[in-house]
Amino acid sequence: MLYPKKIDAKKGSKLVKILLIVSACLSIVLLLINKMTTPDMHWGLLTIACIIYIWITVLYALKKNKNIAAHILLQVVTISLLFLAIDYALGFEKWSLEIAIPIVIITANMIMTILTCISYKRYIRYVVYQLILIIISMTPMILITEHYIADSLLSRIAVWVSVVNFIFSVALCSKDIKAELKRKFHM
Amino acid sequence: MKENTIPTWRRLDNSAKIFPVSTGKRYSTVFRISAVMKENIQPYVLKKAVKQALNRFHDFKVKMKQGMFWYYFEENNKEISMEEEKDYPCKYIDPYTNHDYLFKVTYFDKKINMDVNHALTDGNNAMNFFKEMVYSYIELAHKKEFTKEYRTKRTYCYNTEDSYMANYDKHASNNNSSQKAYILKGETIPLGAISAIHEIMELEALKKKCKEYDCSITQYLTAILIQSIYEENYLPNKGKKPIKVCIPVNLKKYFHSDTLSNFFSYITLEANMKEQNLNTFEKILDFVKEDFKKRLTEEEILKTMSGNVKLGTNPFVKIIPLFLKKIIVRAAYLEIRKYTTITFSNIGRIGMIGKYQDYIENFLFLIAPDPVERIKCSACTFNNELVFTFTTILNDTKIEKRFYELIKEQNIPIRIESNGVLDVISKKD
Repeated sequence: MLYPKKIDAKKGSKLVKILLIVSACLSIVLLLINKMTTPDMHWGLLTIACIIYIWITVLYALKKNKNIAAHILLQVVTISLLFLAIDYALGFEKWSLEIAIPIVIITANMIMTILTCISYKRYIRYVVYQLILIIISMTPMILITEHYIADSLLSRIAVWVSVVNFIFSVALCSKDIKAELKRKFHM
Repeated sequence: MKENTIPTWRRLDNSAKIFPVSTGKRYSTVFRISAVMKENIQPYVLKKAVKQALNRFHDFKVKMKQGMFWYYFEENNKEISMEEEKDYPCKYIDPYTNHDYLFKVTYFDKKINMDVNHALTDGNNAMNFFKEMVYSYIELAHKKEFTKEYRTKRTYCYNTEDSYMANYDKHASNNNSSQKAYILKGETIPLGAISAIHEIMELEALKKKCKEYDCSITQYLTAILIQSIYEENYLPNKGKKPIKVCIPVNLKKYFHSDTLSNFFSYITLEANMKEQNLNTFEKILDFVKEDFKKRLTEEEILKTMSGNVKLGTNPFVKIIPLFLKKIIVRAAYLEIRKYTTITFSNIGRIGMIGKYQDYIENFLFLIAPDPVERIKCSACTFNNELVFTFTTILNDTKIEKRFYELIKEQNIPIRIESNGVLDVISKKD
């Protein structure tokens, strides 16, 4: 006999598929209840945003090979979007852009700096995520310059923390940054 | 903590660039080499053997990473994983379940399998690596019999250069046919299953028959294959387009190269069944011999190879970001593949050193079918047997059955083994 009799067809994780369908149904039901009961308050959208956030986090966490810097970057993006959605649903007073997102950026940059310090020998694995985070961290600065949000100390701190993070990384790991950029951008 | 070393990396060769961009669960670009031993496999010994072989073929210790414009290989220091066979052959290799390696070693009963992502290497190089693995396995499993050295522990003379770039001709004109091919019709097997049917022929009888017809084994089997397709799929479905058979060619026979990366090209036979009146085996064989003569020349092969290299080196193609390349190529690939009816790859004789042959029953070679090329064929020869393999996602065995009958009619002893997905044919004889 050359082949096993019973072959595992790997039909994909059924549980994940069922839970995805349940989530989709739940979202529709919540939206309908929201429309029928309190149409002036968009709490239905909020719950959908939370469900999407949970799913992105869970599905990404299931990918075994992603390193910690990738998870941090993903959280920065998804939590920021979640805050934006909540802010929007509650009347868009811009607290997400002026307070919440700067706090997220400060926290993420601090974690990345600590990560660079304690495992700088493996820094090459974090380079790309680190650089993307630094670029994203410039968002409050752009929004202030464009007069879209008020100039606040928190936003300025967020930008400065990311600048410090960048200088620190270049000083400590410039060779790694150069090597990683060369391979990532080869033509 | 690990040492502060920046992992080494290398570019994908010109041919390999297309594989990861187009690959997925439905189109795996994976091929399999198996060795059927005479005794049950000892997993621990096999794991040791794989490690030993990897130490000699260090360039296969890589993982695939995404760049901004292309994929690239990066050194992989993880331990190689190995498991008992439990999936269909040539399935997509999920890097997350395989410690990021681009090849996967499995075993079942008396059989060792190695599934290889084509981006890593071609069949010829993979076979050298696999043979090293089998040699090591036999030596480790039979230490007493192999106290003396039976083979020279030579360091393999290889590199990972892109031999396409080293040998292509900038000025060669394109020889691609503009006519689409006949696509095999029929229902597909559900749930992503792949059927593997091995038709095992006696080599001496086959050689004798080929001598009678004054043709090579590949030409003879190609003619039988075309006839089987013609009678069992083309005629019943009133086919109009030509039956096109893609035959991969090992470029190392034409150009000097020690590369471990891909270095193959292909020729495509174009059988216009009605226009050329190809309705008997003799006529089909004459056509195949003539078309081989016309297409299997250094000049023609250089044209095909150069055409592909020029696409990969085109500055406009180069600057497209990888995520866009993936979208474009995946959308276009189903259309591109419609220029081939079937692929038949014959890797020829697998030579093993005398004493080691006693432990091996046979070798198998399989290629992954895809949604357009629903059947792929491959062959390899060991000792006095040639194993012709059909890997298919079609839910019938008419072509395979007709192929078997035609060989049998020519008085060549033949027997069948299969993975049981389509069991009808395997019960015959």
